[in-house]
Amino acid sequence: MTDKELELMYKSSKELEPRKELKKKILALAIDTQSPSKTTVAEPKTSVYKRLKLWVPIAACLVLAIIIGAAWGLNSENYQTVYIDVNPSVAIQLNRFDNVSGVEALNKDAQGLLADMDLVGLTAEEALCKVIEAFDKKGYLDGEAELYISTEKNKDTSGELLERLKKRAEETKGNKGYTVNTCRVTEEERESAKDAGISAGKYHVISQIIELDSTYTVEELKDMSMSELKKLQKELRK
Amino acid sequence: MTRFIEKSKVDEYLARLRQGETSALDGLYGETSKKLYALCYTYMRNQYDSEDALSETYVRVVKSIESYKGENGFNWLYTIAKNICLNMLRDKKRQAPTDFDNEETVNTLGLSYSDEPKCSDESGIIALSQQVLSEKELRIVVLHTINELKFKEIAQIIGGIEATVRWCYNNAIKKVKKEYERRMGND
Repeated sequence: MTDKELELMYKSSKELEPRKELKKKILALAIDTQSPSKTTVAEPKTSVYKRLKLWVPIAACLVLAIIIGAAWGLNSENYQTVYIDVNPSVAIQLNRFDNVSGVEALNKDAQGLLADMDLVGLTAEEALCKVIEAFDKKGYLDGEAELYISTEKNKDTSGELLERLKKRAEETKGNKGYTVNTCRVTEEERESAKDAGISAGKYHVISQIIELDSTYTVEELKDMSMSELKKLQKELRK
Repeated sequence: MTRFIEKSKVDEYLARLRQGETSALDGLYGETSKKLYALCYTYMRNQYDSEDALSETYVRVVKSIESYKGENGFNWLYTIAKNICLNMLRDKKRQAPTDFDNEETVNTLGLSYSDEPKCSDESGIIALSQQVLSEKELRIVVLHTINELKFKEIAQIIGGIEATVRWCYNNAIKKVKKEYERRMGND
């Protein structure tokens, strides 16, 4: 069966048609709502003092609850995510203070690496170093490997954070042969990456390849390592 | 060409409705109900809730006709329907599960329905798609094939970028084709 034949099946399908008897009922209901009553009941007047007497303690309690909640929440919430990709792909969730609040392995290679690591509570830079060291130990950063660090574009501090992480990654790298790359990903890319089951950083690179040659699909490219993807990107740009 | 005529017709009906001409609602329903119902179905995934969402959409259209800006009527209707569906899904999550054990249930329009939507179509392609596709994929496929929207327009309605919508669509079509052919082979 061709794509066109399938499209025709959808077009001629009668499954998604509203029942005929609906029309009358819906139109009657909609017309009924058209003339809203404009009469309003006058509110009884209350003195400003009485109103304040009631609202001030409530407001004070609310403010206190918000402050306590915010202090606790800020430390444990996931504010932004940093993606680290070589072939293993790791997502590090950070709170507002750029401390690690959660870690996620995004593919099988990463699962093995993260099994013995506890990164929660470390600063973003410390966590990055630990992950890079683990990648290096297992040989993922040998030769001309490509290390990608990505942050979320829509977070205020993500640009500055990315700079700091890049600097730390370059220091950790020393004179080894791999390359440190950085990028910032959009919310849409994060959503699509989630659907495809890959990291947002990897999805960003894959999208750039598809823009260069639309015959490629995410499915085809998602199991390639970052260095393979970069090589392909370079070839397509020639 | 048909799509443009259709779109301007929708704008014409909405403009007349804005001027207080209630008879325009009839034409508007005729022109848009199938497409809006299809959109609602991709969110609500059952006949009962889709009918409620469709009904609420027209009620909201009448209530907020003053905010219609005089153009892109179809997009305006799609946005209203989409928001209503999302609100209904949110409300549904908050509510405890309803007991649907009774044989006959009546929705807010007073129409009865049976649990499974009646499928008058022999191919049952939507039923099949519902089984193999994610909610997002089904929405993209329905909007592109049945509602004849371009990928760019779909991206605007559901949020996201054109390339991703196109990729999702191709992926979804592959999945449906594979399942369809598998079932045909089994038959």
